Amino acid sequence: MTRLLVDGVFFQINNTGIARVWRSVLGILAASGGLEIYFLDRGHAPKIEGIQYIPFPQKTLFAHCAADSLLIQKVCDHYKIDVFTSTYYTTPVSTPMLLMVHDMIPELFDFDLTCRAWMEKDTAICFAQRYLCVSENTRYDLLTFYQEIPPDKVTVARDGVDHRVFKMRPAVDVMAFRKTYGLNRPYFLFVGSRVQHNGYKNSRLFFDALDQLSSIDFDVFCVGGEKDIEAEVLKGIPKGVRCIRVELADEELSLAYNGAIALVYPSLYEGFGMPVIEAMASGCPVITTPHGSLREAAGDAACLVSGASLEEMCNALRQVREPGYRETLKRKGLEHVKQFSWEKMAVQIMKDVLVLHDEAQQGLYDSFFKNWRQLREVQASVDF
Amino acid sequence: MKHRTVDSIYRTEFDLIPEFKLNWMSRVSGFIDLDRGRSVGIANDMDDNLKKRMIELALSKLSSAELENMQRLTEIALNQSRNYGAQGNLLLLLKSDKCSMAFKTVGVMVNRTWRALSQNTNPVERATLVKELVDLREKCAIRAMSPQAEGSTAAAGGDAAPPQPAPQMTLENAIVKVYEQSVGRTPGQDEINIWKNNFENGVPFHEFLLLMSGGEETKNCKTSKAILAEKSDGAFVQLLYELLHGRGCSVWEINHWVSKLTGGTMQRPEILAAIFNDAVKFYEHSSETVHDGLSCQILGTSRVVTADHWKRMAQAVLKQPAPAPDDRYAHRFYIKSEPRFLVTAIASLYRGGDFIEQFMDNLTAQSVFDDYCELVIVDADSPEHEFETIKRYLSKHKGINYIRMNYRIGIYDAWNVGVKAARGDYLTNTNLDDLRRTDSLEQQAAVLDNLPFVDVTYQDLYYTFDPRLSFGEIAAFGYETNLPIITPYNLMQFNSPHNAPMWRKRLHDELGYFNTHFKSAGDYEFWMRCLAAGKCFYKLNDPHVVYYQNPKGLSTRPDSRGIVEAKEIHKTYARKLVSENLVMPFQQFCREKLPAVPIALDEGKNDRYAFSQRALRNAARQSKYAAVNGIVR
Repeated sequence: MTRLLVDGVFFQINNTGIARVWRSVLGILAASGGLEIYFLDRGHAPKIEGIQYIPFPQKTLFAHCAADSLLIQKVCDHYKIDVFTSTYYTTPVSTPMLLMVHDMIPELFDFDLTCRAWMEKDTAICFAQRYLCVSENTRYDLLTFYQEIPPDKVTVARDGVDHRVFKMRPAVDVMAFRKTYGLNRPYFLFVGSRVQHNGYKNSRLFFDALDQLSSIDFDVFCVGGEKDIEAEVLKGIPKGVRCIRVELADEELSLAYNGAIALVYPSLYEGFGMPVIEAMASGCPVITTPHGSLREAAGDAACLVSGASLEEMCNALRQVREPGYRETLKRKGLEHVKQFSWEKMAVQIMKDVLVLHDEAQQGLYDSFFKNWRQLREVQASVDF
Repeated sequence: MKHRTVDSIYRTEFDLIPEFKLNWMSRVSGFIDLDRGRSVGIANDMDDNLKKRMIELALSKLSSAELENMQRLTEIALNQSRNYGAQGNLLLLLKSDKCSMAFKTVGVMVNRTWRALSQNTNPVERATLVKELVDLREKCAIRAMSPQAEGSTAAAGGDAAPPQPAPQMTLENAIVKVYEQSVGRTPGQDEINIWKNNFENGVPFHEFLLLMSGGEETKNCKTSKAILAEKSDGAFVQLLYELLHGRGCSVWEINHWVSKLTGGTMQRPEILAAIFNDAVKFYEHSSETVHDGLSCQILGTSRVVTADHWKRMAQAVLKQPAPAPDDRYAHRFYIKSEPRFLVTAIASLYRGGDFIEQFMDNLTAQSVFDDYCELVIVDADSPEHEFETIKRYLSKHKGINYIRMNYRIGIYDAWNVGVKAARGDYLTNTNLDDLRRTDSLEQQAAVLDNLPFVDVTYQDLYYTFDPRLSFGEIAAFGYETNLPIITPYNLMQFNSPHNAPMWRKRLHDELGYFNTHFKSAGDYEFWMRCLAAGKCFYKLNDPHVVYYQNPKGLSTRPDSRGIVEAKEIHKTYARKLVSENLVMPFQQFCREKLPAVPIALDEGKNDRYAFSQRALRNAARQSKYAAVNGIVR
């Protein structure tokens, strides 16, 4: 059976969306029994039945990257790993690698690409031989930035949604949840980071629009993202509107979606946009934009705004409160979201892993690996 | 720029696209204005499809040197796009008027995109513009890689690729060579262009040679190289440290001084003087160095723990209810071997009366003690009758081997006695005042049992100023190291294996025993020896040992013994651990170690890591899918 090694480095670093993706698909992959799965545990690894864990040195963020690669390779060699993949951007030096690419945001939005973290992403893309992108849009971006990659080496499997968690909830549970958080008025939901480098999250548009609304009979509920609500955000919020920020586990997040007027997600760019489909699966109307991959995530089931017009956003915020329109969005959303599942992504990963294993066995990458190892060793020797 | 030329090129090359004609003249006039540095907008109404075809066509005409230049131009455009509101003309940076019409065509496009980008704050629009530039950069890179890229004559057409011209000395290379020989540095692109211009205007090459050899900079360079001219800058600096400081030179020091030499801000005699001054200062003041043992840096972090702070914290920490168990590292290795003496813990004993009971309790309570462990205690003729205590444990545990020497021996002598007496395959040193969690030996042995390629295992650890606390209590203070993967450079900075590593006994067969010449840093020297021999170190994240920061203990005593020994060790190992790749001249490094990476002449940073990254990027472009593409065809 093909042996897959997954580097759990992302779990060491963070517990955000990418961790959710891997937790979801690994469970399914392990249960399917089609692969022998090994996992480098650098800390905080999820406990999944059927996976063999290998304690591995924590990554020093972000230093000794080349040395880290050489050590990963030793583990690959010892366990006779056929295919490697990483939950983030770590690499071996001569074991075939499948890379999941979530987005090209740092490359597109002026992040400092000379910092090691992003150099490592470049390394991972350069080294990997096959790719799985979470949206067509990300695939297109990847192929623009790395034009040597033959298009048939890049597959797409959109992020999924756990329909057992994100679903319509009984009204009584939703009421209880609202009571816990003091949400006794209608509320708009904002999920994830509010301020991002270069402002592509575009939360400003939402908070500015609130100020333009005439009736103040709602609250704003922010889940996740930066710990403290930014002063400039609070400044824009009209008197009488409460703005609360909490961290929620998935069960509660689903209840939060169930009870909200709408999820407001005005982002100008995403690699996929998981909150959109999680909201839809929970029967929550969604206001978002058609940018990046969001059109793919939202389909025709969301209220789309350009993300550039305050007036348009105001109208959308008013419109989603009309019962008829709400009902339409809800119905469309529940229908649209049926196509998204982690099973699909797991199946695609499995396919890609097997194809890559097969390609590698034919020796397609042997001379590249030899070349690469040499260069990565040189890089390790000048890394201080 | 002459309209006649434009016209003829336009006719021969761009007649291919009929609808292009209309736009061409407006573009050309826009370009002329740009070239004069005036900002006149170019017709912006070209449809995307046409633009694409025009770019494709223009790219196919670029020579390989131009492709490289274009990559550089797009790179600059991307890097400088954060200067919002920038005006100007990027093309002027190239300061070359010898580029082809095709190059200028693409260049204008880059310039326009760059200016649009630098004036745009809308993320969506910016992303589109960035993509355009990247697309262009990558297209150039791919073309530059393909063998057909050479020369603009190999235009479209089904013909076989022209034969590759043999590598020859181009004018540009010749200029570079002369600069390297005479002033010891590579010239900037602007300097190269100036000379190329001069030659075209009739200046003979020998005139250039004369000028270069007689110049001020050449004289300076000669003075600079006057000392040890045959050595590279890196090797020169290494020698200074070895001879003046009496120790090896760290990679940071090499980098620091070499950058001064290559940047021209200091000459060799000045550096010699500076390092000599440092050495004198160190020599005169070394006896004043205060190192009181009441504070220590937490390895791998920038935090410092002090005895005072510990005391203040203690009141609060010890009152709190026990913290939840540490669940960060839920998965672990398990010992595979059958029960036998697998692990030998070695303890050197001298004046350990205060700690012996606690130590024996801690060791014999180890989860695998009776099944897998042996404890070898080497008593270096200690006067405190510790054996009276040890005796009580002998009857309960078969794995204790007490060896008493009848004269005082040093710590590493004692360890060597322990190593030789050891029956286990895995060895670990156990200090009397340290503390281990009950699964500590088990975890370490399991690493070596499961990963045959590992020679030494180490782990993060907690510090304590109070040796009487339990493991859980000490952990609650949270003074935890963040040790890295061991590399030659970080091991030269600090001793990550620290107080409680476990290693394979066979290392001693191959590399010898601990060097008993050392009193304080013998273990450190052994790990250096292991690393220099290519041995593998493997860290466990789970901090299962405690290090007692003892203000009076030998290994932390405030004399300069440790410093003297560390210097000596560095002197031996710096040359073995600092890669030649960091010492050789930058140009040589690129040429020999990073084939196929064009060296950007105007990039002064000489960052070897970043250049290696370029080499990786090019390897992907060039060779990753070579076999795949071969098969497709």
